[in-house]
Amino acid sequence: MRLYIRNLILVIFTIGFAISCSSPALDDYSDVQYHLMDQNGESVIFPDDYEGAPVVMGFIYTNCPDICSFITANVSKVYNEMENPGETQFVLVTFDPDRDTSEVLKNYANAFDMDKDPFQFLTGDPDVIDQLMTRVGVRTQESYSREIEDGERMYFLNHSDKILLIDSRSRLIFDYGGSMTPPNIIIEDLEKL
Amino acid sequence: MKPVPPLLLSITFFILTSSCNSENTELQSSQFELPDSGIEITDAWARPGRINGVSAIYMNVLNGSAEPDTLISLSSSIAGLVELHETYELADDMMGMREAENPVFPGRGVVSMQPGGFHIMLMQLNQPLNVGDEVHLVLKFALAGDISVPVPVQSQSEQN
Repeated sequence: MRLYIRNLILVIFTIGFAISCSSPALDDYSDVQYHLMDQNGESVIFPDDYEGAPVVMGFIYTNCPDICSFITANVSKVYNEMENPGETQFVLVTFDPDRDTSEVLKNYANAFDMDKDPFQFLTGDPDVIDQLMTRVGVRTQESYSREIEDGERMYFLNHSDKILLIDSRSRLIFDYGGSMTPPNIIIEDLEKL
Repeated sequence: MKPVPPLLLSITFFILTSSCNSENTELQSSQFELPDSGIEITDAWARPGRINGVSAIYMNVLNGSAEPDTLISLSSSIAGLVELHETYELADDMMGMREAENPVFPGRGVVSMQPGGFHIMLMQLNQPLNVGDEVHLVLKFALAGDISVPVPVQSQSEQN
């Protein structure tokens, strides 16, 4: 009996220690549902469809050939440099859904050799994307606009530079500078989950 | 708006370019052999792009002349609009991109255009740019005149 109590105390202590050592959540997305679409035109729901495995999520728009390429490549590098990525999911979401359709995202993914598992590129209805960006703290503002010959408008966006690490229970655990953070930092944090 | 003195603009351009990321600073400090005169372009490459989309070109501009030179215009047959842009950091972890106006290239100096800093924006692409393609870019300088550069399109995943 004494041995049983001692073991029980040890188990409780170990669980408590593990909980206290894990990173506290910065947010919990399990109370929301965003209906989105991937680069193949398939419907997905964030975060429901991603529960059960960690998510590395970056935010981009494809008319940004410089800094967003860094963010995209950084997400790719995290996967490529992980010894055991397991079921980890790697997702890039556009904050320019008017121009970044599924087809545009598919071409963009191809250019990075990322139109394949475990990568996913997401777009959606502009209102839904706007709600998602507000929730994850990604801000945008138009910075440069020009009328072009066919009456269309060309514009660029100032935007947050962000990659998020979301755990298997849809909780935001880490928030990184998307283009600046070395992949090994994100990998180390993934290994702590 | 009051015009900016060329020397001040030159120094600002050089400092901005150097400070955009550590790679730029490292390259400028030691790794170039300047031409005896005029301007030489090295290590140019372009990102892939889709039709009607955008791409970016990166390169090193080596000015072997003792005089600073000014980039007057850029053109390419594959893009409706070609401009020199710079990526810059704003407050609150925001990143932006803006046109770099009247860029000056210092005499006996190097301006290194690398990802995250200065880059040549190709806008309104009239054809897709795929890995292995080649873009022809013309840079018009005040002193060096027109310089035509073949620019290979390279893989995104290899460059960042």
